[in-house]
Amino acid sequence: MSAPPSEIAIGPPIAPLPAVSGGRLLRRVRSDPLGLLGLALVALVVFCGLFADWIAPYDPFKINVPAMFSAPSAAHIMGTDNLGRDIFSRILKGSQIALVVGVSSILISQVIGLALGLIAGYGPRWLDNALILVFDAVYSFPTVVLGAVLMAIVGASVHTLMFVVVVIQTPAYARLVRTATLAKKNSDFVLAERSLGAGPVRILVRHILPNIVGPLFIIGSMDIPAVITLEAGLTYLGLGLPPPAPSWGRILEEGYRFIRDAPWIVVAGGIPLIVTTLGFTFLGESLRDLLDPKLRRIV
Amino acid sequence: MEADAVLAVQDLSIDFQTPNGTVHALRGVSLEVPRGSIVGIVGESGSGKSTLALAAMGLLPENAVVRGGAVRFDGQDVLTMPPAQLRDLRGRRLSMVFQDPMTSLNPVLSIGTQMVDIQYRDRTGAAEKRRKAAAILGRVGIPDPEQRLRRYPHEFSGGMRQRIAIAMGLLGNPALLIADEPTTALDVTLEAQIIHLLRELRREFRGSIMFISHNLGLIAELCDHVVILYAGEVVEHGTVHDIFHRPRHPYTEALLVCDPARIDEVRRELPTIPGDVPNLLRVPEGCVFAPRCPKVFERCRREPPADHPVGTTQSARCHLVTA
Amino acid sequence: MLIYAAQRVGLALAICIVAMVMLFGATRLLPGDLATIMLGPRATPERVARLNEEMGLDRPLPVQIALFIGNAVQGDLGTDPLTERKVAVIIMENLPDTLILVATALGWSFLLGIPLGCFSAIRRNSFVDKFTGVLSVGTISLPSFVVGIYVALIFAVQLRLLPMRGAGESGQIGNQIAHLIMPSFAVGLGWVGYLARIVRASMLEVMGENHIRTARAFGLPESRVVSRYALRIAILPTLTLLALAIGGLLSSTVFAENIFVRPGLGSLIVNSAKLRNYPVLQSSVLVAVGIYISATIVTDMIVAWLDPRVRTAV
Repeated sequence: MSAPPSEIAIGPPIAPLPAVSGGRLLRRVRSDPLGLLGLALVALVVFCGLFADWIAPYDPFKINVPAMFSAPSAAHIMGTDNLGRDIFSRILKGSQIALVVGVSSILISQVIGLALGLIAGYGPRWLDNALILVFDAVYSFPTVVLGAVLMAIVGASVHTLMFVVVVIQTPAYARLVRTATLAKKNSDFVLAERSLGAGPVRILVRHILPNIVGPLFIIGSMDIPAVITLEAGLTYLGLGLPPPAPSWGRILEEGYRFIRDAPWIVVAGGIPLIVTTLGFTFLGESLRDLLDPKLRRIV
Repeated sequence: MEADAVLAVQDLSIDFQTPNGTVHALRGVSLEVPRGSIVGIVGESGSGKSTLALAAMGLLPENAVVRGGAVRFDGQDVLTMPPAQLRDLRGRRLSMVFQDPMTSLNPVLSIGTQMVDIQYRDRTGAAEKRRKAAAILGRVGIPDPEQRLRRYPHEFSGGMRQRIAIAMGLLGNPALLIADEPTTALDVTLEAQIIHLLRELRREFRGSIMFISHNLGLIAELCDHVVILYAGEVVEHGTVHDIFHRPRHPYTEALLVCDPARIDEVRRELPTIPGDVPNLLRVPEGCVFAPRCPKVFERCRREPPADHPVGTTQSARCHLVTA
Repeated sequence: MLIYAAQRVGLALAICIVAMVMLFGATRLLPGDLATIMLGPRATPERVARLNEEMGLDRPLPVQIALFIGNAVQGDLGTDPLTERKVAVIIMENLPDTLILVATALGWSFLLGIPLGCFSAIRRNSFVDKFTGVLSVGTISLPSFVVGIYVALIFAVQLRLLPMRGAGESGQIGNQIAHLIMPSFAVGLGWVGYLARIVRASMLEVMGENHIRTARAFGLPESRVVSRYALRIAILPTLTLLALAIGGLLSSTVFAENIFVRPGLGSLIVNSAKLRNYPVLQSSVLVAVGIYISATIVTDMIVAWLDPRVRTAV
């Protein structure tokens, strides 16, 4: 499992979130070489994910026993695995899986987290305290351990995996939204609107939501590598996506069994994970300065 | 005169490099602090008083550039001294009390620890150092000092913290104590107490004090000599009697007139000096006070005035002052 | 200080209880009779009855939790249906290896991370600083299991320098250390970078503060200003993260124990999860949670001890 999750997503409450615009984002990234590299790597991964079915030279599921354990060659750029399947094609298909699972589970967590955070921030104190207690309890499980337990109970499938990610990620987003909501709730113009009769829904939609959406987007994209890594890790342990889905974790798991005889499988399985995590991290680093002015001043 | 001066600033010019350009914070500043005296430095915000204080300690920030001049402490230029030698002076022969008592003490160490640390150069034992620290804390008016040594800064009020800072400053029996607006962050009653304390201490403490403030009343109460700083230049200096009874520079006159404590008659509006302190990114030609001076005439805008002595103790940088 | 400690412990216990509710509640969601599922192929009517009695599976959730806590306090964490051994014993056999691995990884990261971060702050924008910066960002997000596998590939398989599996011969320290090198490196690598960054940022902030200027104004030697006056404050955020670190490290050790086939709590959890061995799974997970929460409390205590302002703030 990768080391610490995004510092901003899980950690002490931060100051109210500043407004973020797309133009600023692009300008910021362009001025930073590491950020550009990150952007390029992310673009590469996204491209592979989108066009995997067209680019892949072979069918990722096709078993071809005579060609099994072939070292990398012109015919198979990354070699073949124990069942003769072309690894490069499987990697490409895996990028699709990684992105779909990653992005959709983060989206779902953000929606649920948004709702819970708004309720916690705007609702009665006891509800807020109760929710915080639940969030802390979820945090107290080391990530992979929580994943393992849930997968064991519910059974391995794509949906379970997404459920696991949602359970793990939602508290982080909920906390963020809660902090922003609390900050806004007591601000003067909200109080003014309330005295004019504005109901909570109107206040939520007009004042709180617009400020949150941008930062949530950025933080969500910074969480993508962590989620992809979690999925790969759980699958590697045998507690994630069931075979024959060519998740990168599966390729690593199968390759590890044959690490002495066919080391290229494991090398190939690790590369996309490294590319993805480095890419998103470099990009995220570039963008995070927009969120945390304190860091910008220091750096 | 120089042999009697513990601190002699000679024609000091300091610039700051900022993202907006170069700020000429101090230009050709000269002043002296005679031994055993209290010299007051008066100036508004932006006059360069804090820069002057930091320069005297050799604590200028990274973006400061010394364009010329020297700051001689006991005859030796602080700005070109080897760092080890400078460090040896600080806390012993030369010390400083800063403006903000809330942030100038280390929050995670007890004041006892900090006061003992300052004495690290002494060969005495820890117990002796604590005794000295407690003694001087008592002297500045901290009750029950031996117990208080174990406490942390946040357990004291602002006024107490500033007393502690003064105690720390005096611990090494320095030849010069620089007090950079020590009472600005305190309310009026505390301010009076601190000034009273300093007045008492000067009888026992044989060193000099450089007292920086924007408050004329305090300067009048405490100081022997006064230096008036405006926008990075010394526009007038003299004894406290000279300055308060016979000011020669229009800025000094205006300051005195505007001091609320000196207003005798009832009026609707408080007098002010019209205009703003000049932008030190682009220093005007001619006299720096010309844009705001009520007595300005043509020559002022063209030609920067020289320092004209008045009697033996006073000097003003103004064209209006003739011998 | 004592009041603060009591508050923290109280909060932690509350979190524990909620975690237990979640864990036990989740397992009760399984369709069918819980005891039968847990026993799997070894289910006989007597065993089912005995398990129900022991764990309170057929009683309401609060009763089940109360039973568990009651037993746990006496040191009984249930019985492994597969081997008929006491779970507590199994866990105690495996726990030390995990703790050693976590401690070693932490040791790596602190020993390397703090000086790197400190140095980067003092010599800002030097080559070391920039190099450390890029390295930190890179290593923070690398999945630890990929690092582990690659390290194993290079040093164990290709170069044959280090042993591939196991924790080493008991009683032979040198051998055990050899077995620790790769796993602890894989687990600790991400945190070296993370710590270096935090320490750097923290130091830069502290060094700019007024009280550091005061310390210099009193002529204190720079080494003392850095170590006693600045680092003491700058370290506090890293300690707060220590608890978070242990949580992340526990996750990484699960992988390390799998890759390097080491015994430990992680292996226990993974294997019992795969086998649907719920008594073992439940208890080991709760032990992991317990370790994490204890780490949080301990680091909070250390922070409160080092920073007197925290004690009064709460």
